[in-house]
Amino acid sequence: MFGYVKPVPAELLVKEYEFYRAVYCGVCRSMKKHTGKLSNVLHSYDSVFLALVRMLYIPDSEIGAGKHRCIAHPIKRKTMLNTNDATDYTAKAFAILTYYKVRDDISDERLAKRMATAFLRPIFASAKNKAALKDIAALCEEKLSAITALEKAKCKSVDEPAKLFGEILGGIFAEGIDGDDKTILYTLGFHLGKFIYAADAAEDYEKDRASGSYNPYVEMYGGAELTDDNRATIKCALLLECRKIEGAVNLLPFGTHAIIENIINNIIYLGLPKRIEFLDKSECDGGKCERKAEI
Amino acid sequence: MSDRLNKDPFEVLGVSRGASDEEVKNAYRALARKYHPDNYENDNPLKDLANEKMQEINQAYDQIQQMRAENKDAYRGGGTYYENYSGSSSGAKDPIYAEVRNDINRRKFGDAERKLLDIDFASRVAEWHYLMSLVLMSRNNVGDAMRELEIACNMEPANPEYQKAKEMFNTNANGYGSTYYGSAGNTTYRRRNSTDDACDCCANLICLDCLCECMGGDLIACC
Repeated sequence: MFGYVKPVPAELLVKEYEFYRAVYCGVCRSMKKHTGKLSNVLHSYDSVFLALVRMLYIPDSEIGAGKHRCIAHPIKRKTMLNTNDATDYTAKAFAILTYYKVRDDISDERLAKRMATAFLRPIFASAKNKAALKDIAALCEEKLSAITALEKAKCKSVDEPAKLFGEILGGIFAEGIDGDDKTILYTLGFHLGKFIYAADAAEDYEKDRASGSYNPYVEMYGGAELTDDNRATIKCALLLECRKIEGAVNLLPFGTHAIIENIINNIIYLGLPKRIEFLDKSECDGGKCERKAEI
Repeated sequence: MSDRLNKDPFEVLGVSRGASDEEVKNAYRALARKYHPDNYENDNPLKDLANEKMQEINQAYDQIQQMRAENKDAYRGGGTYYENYSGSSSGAKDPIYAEVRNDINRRKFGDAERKLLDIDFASRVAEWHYLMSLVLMSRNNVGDAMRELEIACNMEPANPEYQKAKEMFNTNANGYGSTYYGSAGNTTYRRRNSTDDACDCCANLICLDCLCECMGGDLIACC
């Protein structure tokens, strides 16, 4: 959905990269199973992060892989993770989040997009019914409509809407886990959500400034063109958010899961900062040129 | 009485805000010796004044101790954003800002924010934005806080207090991930010593080629 939370593959070991790909495929298979055949066109790398984190909370014996074919790889059989509780949960939670996100977008986007989202609606309606995670659904609905309200009111703060989005991700990360781990996971999701919302707004600055769409940074900077100093300030705030994420990740119970630990560290230490590198370049039009070199 | 309450405790003791605990203690001791009741006989007309002075420095000393204890408590391991936050004692021109600073020191961020928001738009000076950023930071609103701090710095670029705060945040942010392998500034690879240069890579390839040839295959066709 956002593409902010992914590793820098060049810095992963090959076995780690393969494991990451396998988890990606595992989540995709879970989506097919739980939320309908077509829903996996909306599969994103962000959900893999959730699956990796949640895999720390299931028994090792449930983590296994096999070779399978799929629509994206019809010729060669790929190593894919067998679906487990973590991938199933990830698939359902993301389907719900995407469904409400799409539903909220319908009301304020242009016609073409409106048609597209209307087309997707039945898929997610079924996704929501099948997934049946009521708490998550209620949380997404409430917070997303609160975000929409803030956006309509042209809120002059980036943290107010970002916090609401953080609360959604916090809830999704922590759902069904108890005790101290719940706090750790909630904090991790909360700050990750804040980071994603703010980074997304920063990246869309020029676009939204030109089109007049709501963007918290445009409101905060009065619609002026961002100077290098402004960008440095925004980046500093985003990196401070990363610090909070780091604090939560340091407390995750990695145990013997060295591969998962390395992938998660790669994502938060290298992936997140890389994703906001567009703030270093003034002439780069919101970082669009950076985005081509992706996984 | 109320006059005394509003005095800057650091000013009362005659030390800078950045003074170490030791310096504060020494300054306090010197002043306490000066104004001690023993120095003023019972019929001395200055006795009351000295007493008042004594109370003033006692209070100032307590206040500084309390402020610093609170800061240490709240920011154990989390950096010390507020510790020396008010570098220029002359910065507080408007008494309301002194009050707000006091609230922030006592970690009453709600009160501080209310007072700040009561100040009307036109008279919001650099200090307003600076203090607002501290309040926002206390709520973890980093994005908004950085924006307010930026405004404060732009309004008064020469103010060392604001620059210092900004630098502190920047240092914290720029250090992110610096101890992780693969990030800029850290050249040590996590599982090997820093010897994986180009020569090493070629050597490995040649070794691999030899191994392949042993088995009847070939990795590098030209050798």
